[in-house]
Amino acid sequence: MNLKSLFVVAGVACAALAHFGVVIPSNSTIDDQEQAKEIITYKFTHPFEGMMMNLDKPVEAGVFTNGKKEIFSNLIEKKDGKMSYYETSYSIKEPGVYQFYMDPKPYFEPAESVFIRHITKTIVDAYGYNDGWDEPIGLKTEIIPLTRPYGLYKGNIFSGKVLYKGKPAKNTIVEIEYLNTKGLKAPGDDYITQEVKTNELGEFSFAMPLAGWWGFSALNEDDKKIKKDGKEYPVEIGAVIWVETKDYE
Amino acid sequence: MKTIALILLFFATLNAHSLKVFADIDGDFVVIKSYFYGNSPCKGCRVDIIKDKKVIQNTTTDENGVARVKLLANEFEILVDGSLAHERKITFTTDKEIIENKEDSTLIYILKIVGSIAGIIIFFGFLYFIKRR
Repeated sequence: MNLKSLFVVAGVACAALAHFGVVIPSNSTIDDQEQAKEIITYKFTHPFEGMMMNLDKPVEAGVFTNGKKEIFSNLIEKKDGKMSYYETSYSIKEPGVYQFYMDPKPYFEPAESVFIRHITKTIVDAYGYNDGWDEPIGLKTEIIPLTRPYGLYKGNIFSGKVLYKGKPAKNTIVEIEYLNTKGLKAPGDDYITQEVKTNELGEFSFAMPLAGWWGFSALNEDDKKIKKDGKEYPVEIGAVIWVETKDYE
Repeated sequence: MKTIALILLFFATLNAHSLKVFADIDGDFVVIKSYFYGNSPCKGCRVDIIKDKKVIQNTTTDENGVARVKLLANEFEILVDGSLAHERKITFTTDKEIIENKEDSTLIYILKIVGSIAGIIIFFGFLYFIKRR
């Protein structure tokens, strides 16, 4: 294999990986006050392969609970090698369902000539409140859980409904990846990113075979383009949700 | 058989609605919120504050499942009775300083002064009585 061929193979391998916005709390359920001081981590990554991408400071990050939105101003930049990611702390003081979200600065992917904007959220239940996990929080695109998005066992099926501008997004590809913190190897490239499509109502389902965090990314082309160097580029807008599964103790 | 099935279903429903109790400090008070899983408030439910196995306060929750009691100890148990086999007890601890009731402490202070004056009068009265004899 000559050098040129190697570059081509490497390029194809990179293209096979899916980009995911990540919003992950230190605890997906809160049972006592020791768990109530959440650390929320915001990343842009290839979750299964563990390849970090640079995340610019999100345009907006916050939490939605009891019908109110709180925007965070205390995001702290962290580094993983040369790549930036962000963290914030948030103390949960009372029972409720807390939807943490991030709207990132669109990332330009030169390999695909496209901007990527993955609007990402995750949902935490505090003290068994369990009310409001299926409420939209007004993001331009988002996944509304049809399965309660916490307290899940490995092997459970997660179902959701994709909304784009408040309406069901039919025939939308939903990419799914496992946040691989255990160094697992996939049998082949096709196994890294799982895919399902939404039905006519914008709904999808997927069974999660491992304990850990699972990202679901519903991808559409946004109705707005972004200009760069005098040229307009399409925007891949993603509705991403992260859910955690656990094993029996 | 149908009755048994209905009873089983009833209990299964009860299990799904487990009672939750959450307590937090608000000034010199403890605010207790009690609700069933799914945020349905435990309305008019009896709340016992238990210290050393004795009930030291009791109250009932309001329409929102909320009750307020004065903070009288740094560690105690809160027992909420939601009836129909729903009961939840939690242990509450705080390092907040317990403020004594001002009216009580003022009364005790006055009583101490009156008692001291009365003691002095009795003492000197007794001496005067002996001297007169």
